[in-house]
Amino acid sequence: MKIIKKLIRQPLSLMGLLIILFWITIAVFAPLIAPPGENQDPYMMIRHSYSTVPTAPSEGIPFGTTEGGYDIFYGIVWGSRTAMIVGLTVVTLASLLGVLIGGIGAYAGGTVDYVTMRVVDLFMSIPFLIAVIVMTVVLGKGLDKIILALVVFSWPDYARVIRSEVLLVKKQEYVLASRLMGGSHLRVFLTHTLPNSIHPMIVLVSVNFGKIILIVAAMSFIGIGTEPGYADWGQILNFARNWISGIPGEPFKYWYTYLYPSLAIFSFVLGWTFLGDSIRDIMDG
Amino acid sequence: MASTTNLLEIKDLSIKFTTESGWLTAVDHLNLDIKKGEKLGLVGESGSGKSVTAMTIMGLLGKRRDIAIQGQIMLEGEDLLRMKQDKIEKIRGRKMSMIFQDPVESLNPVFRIGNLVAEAFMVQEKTDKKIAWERAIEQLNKVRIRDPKATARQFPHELSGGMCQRVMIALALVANPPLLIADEPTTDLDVTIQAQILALLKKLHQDLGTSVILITHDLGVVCQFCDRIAVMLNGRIVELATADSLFTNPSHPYTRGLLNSIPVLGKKGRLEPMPSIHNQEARGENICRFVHRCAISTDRCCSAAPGLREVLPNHYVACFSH
Amino acid sequence: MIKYIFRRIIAIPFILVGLSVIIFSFTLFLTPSERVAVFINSPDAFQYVDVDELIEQYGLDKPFPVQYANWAQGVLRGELGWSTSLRMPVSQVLRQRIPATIELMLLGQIVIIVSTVFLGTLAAKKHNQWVDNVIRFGVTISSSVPNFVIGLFLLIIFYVGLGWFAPGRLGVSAMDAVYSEGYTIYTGMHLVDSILNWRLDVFKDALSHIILPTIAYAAGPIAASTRLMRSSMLENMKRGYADTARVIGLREKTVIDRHVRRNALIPTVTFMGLLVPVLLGGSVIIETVFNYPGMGMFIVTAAKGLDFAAIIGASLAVCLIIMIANLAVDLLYGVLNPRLRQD
Repeated sequence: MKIIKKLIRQPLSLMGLLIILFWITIAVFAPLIAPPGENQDPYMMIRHSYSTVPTAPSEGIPFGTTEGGYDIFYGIVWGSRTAMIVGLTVVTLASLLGVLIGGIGAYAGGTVDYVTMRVVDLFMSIPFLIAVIVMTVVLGKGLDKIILALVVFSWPDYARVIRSEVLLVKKQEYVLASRLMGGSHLRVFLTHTLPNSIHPMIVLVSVNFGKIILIVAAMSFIGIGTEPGYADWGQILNFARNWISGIPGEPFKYWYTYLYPSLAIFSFVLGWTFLGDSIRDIMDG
Repeated sequence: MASTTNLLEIKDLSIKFTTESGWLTAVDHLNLDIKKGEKLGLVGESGSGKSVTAMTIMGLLGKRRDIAIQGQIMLEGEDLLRMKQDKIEKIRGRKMSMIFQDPVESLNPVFRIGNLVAEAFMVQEKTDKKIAWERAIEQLNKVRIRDPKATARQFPHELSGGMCQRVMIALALVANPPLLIADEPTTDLDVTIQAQILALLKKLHQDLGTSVILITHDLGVVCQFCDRIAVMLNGRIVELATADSLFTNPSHPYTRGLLNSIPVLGKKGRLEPMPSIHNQEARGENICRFVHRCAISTDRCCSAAPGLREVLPNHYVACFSH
Repeated sequence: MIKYIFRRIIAIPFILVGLSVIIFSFTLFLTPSERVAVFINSPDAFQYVDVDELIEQYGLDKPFPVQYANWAQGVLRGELGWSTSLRMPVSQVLRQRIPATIELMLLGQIVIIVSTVFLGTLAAKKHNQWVDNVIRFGVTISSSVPNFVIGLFLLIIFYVGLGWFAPGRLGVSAMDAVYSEGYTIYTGMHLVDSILNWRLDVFKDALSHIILPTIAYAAGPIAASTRLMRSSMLENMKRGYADTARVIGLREKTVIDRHVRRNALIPTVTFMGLLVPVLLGGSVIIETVFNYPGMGMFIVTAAKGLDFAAIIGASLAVCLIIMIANLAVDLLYGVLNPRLRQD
């Protein structure tokens, strides 16, 4: 609770919290802000036409349409849901997996620990983005495949943090005492290790949340991600790539195709960065 | 040995730090002189302000917003506190220098010993690299490092603490500064090494005539080394006397307490432990520094701060009982 | 020191085997007929032979270890399969593309190191003054802008708006010069080769193409490493050895530039090592945005075209680059930190 008070007092972290809150609100009220059509998958962007040329913002289409007649406003509103869902799922699953593997390795110690840490090293030496791309391609397109790939390659971060915490806690006397009194490994882990390692985990989660969204956006941006038309910021930006040069004499004619999705991604990540940095500063100092 | 002219005069020095609970007075209206060629001991427990005073003399606290410094520190007639930063940088090493408590931490871990010392020569004597290296080896020889050529090629982490302190002394004395401040130079070392370092400092003092301010919490160390001793407590000097006079006639209850807690060979009876700082420290304007721990304190000690008074020739005490 | 290097080198084959197992195990998700391309090295095999026959020929119905062994043998001979998207052997594509990516990465690292040392030192010297605050704020902002957004806006401003720099790797005339007779390709890196051939026009052209991707590439990492460098400098400025340097008469500038910075660089170099995978990952995005034909763009093309042989081969090459870079960083680390040099 003290942390939250401190977070609100600092201008940067307050701004971060407000930005994140803003996007959560948008995501929660997406059906009201940008109501989907009937019998339509709400996560697929509304199409106003099949025209390849973007159209400027107009009545009812506040941000205009991008290549393929997709409604940019609708995409950004529902894209916030996509971002939240992907971020939450990946961070939750990956941290659970990391805690499990790292925790077991550190508790078992010896060879088990050595092997798990070498596996962690291996995973961390492959470029994250490339690994996720390769795995997604092999598994086939779709958001669930991306989530799976992201989880598979982001757990080592958490495993590392948990491991060092476990090793620290393991040596502490109250843990030894609790073991001597007959507490099981699981009990020690749940009552002593986890509560103690919660702080570095919070930092990691808040930093990684933004990072995961970045990766998803990046993948959609280069065209290896969600299926075409899925409400996803990276994909809207991908549609804009053919239009950044405008037309002769009017180089910035299609500004709306790239400005809005860029702002959405930037602000979202900025919010998490501000928050993560502040939490880290508070924990360090 | 010591002449009568003052090398350094500290006049009415006050140093305050900001803390979360307001200003903390680390040094309170301190007056202290050191004569040319003198060895002065500055004794006190941690928090007494002795190290802060040293850092202030050397200008190491810089111009920080959370520290307020008042008073004057005159070195050969010039006020260090009103000196421009680049002037201070020129004076350091040349007119005054310092050695620290943790000798290993005090040497840059990524430089070879020889390069560290040679760099000081290049700065102070404007010599070129080759000559500076030769001078560095001579200098290491002066502080009695046995194989200076080999040592010059080593890194600090390859040397023992005592060796590092010798290197540190060599560094500090590159330009033969008239003033050397030694801040707890032997505290982190083994007893035998302590004695060697003190003997080295004594020898260099004799050879070079350097004035030394030896800062320590250990009365045993100062009595071996110093001409004159100032006992500090919570930012003020409570007793100032020549070494002989202080040991034969300790006059402040705090000094007496300190001396009674040192074991003396052949003396019978119990050692008397010094009462420790339990509750709040006495740091106000109008209060004796020792009042909370003093056995002979009166009401007066809580309402006024005793000033230094000469009770014997050249022996000053800040206590109402004299 | 020798022991230290030796240990690093000894570890390399083991890491390579581990990584190649991970990478090859991706092919388990594929059907044997999709997997075939990973084993084939010429297009003839595709055209005239029955796929089932190929599956049998390469043992694709055998257990995983056997398949891995077959594949690994080919890899050791430099056979990485047939790229269906670019219609040539993967190894041949890699030979063209790896230098392009390394050129970008090296230039990026140089820009990152130089800016980090400059900005980190400046911020530490001017601690809590406005310069420091500007740097800190800029660092926070630029670490939050995704590199593809930076890339896109750089293109919009400098290509679309100002017309200064173009996407791609070389202009038409420079390309002609590179492939003309009398121009020797030494490294495949245009900036280096053009100097060696003394063709300043090619150098200028290559530079004008690589500038924007380098900036987009480096912006994020500069932010992160500047932050690290700054705090590392501040921490070291308070260390005892810095006070020693001050009391023996060195000027504050010398204390910081010579003594403090050498020490503050040690964690920064470690960070640079960790950056290599990040940079290579970033090359996927940057090369796509700027249409720069390197490994990253190759991976994207291959991924879009479900060109599995290319993906597997390229991943392997990426891992190899990372390991060589890590070794280089380890050596640099040993040079900077004398404590490591002892045995």
